[in-house]
Amino acid sequence: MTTLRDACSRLLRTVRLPRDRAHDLARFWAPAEQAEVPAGSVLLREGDRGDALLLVLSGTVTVSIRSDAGSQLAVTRLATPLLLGTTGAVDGEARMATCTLDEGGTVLRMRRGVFLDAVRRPGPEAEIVRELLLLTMHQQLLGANDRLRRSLATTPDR
Amino acid sequence: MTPDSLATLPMFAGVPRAELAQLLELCPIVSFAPHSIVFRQGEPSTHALLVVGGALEASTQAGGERTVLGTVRAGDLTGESGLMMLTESRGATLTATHSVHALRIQRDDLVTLSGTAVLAAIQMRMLAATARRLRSTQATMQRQARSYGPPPTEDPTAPLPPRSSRWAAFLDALGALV
Repeated sequence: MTTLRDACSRLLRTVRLPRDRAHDLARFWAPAEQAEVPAGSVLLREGDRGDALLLVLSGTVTVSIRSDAGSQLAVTRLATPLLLGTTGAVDGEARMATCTLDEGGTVLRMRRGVFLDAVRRPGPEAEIVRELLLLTMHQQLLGANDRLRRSLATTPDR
Repeated sequence: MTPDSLATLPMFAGVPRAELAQLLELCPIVSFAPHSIVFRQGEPSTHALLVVGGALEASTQAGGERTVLGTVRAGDLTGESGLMMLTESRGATLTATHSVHALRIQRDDLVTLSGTAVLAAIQMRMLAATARRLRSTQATMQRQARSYGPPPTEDPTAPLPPRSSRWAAFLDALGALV
């Protein structure tokens, strides 16, 4: 079973932040609500307001978007531990995709108001979260551009 | 530039004057005349600018075509990718449209400011800017995907899309944005 401390350590490693800050990151999540969530649960729904930041400790998550015809198109499957809903938690705007938990797992949920209040503070817990979010979101941008460049170079026009 | 004048920027509301003074000691004020190129697309991204006066225009050049992306004004932080540990080149050219004064901020400055409210204010500004870029990139990709027509399959039993069309290429890239 993945503990919060383990999950924080692994999250920091993915963006090459020092793992010895895992303690600060875990402390930041203290006010979050923790729940055991069954398989198939929708964690975030495209179009809903960004009202929380989620930390998924275990399981895998399928990300899908709505097509023009109204059906759900799976675009990727993500391994955990995983931060979900970062952009919506920062700006409060609509969710960009639907995220569904494939297997049952542990999910921490921090309401946006609580998140914003905590993340603006000058202390080490907030500082490591800001750095983690910035690097994670930045990697998302770079990753999307890279994938697009590679895909377009190897696919026909249709 | 004084701590009091920096304090008039909304992003620094509530930040102690002593910390704003520390920011001014660390980060030099740089000035640009109208029409100067401040950042050039493709150059290494080594620092950010916190604009305290004036305005700039962001644009990109692709295939001989220049596209204006928007305007950067006083209180905006621009070139923030230069503050990340990731190596990246400038994604756009930034040109002064008016006389510009800005604080030149480097990654090392942020390390020095660790534990302060002024760092929190700068990083919150960076988060907001990055969130805007993510949304704008996603919107552009979705528009482009739609311009290639409907997806090749909407079979709900197919767990992931085929990788054989331009549409799927954009869909694949969208997956990285979540």
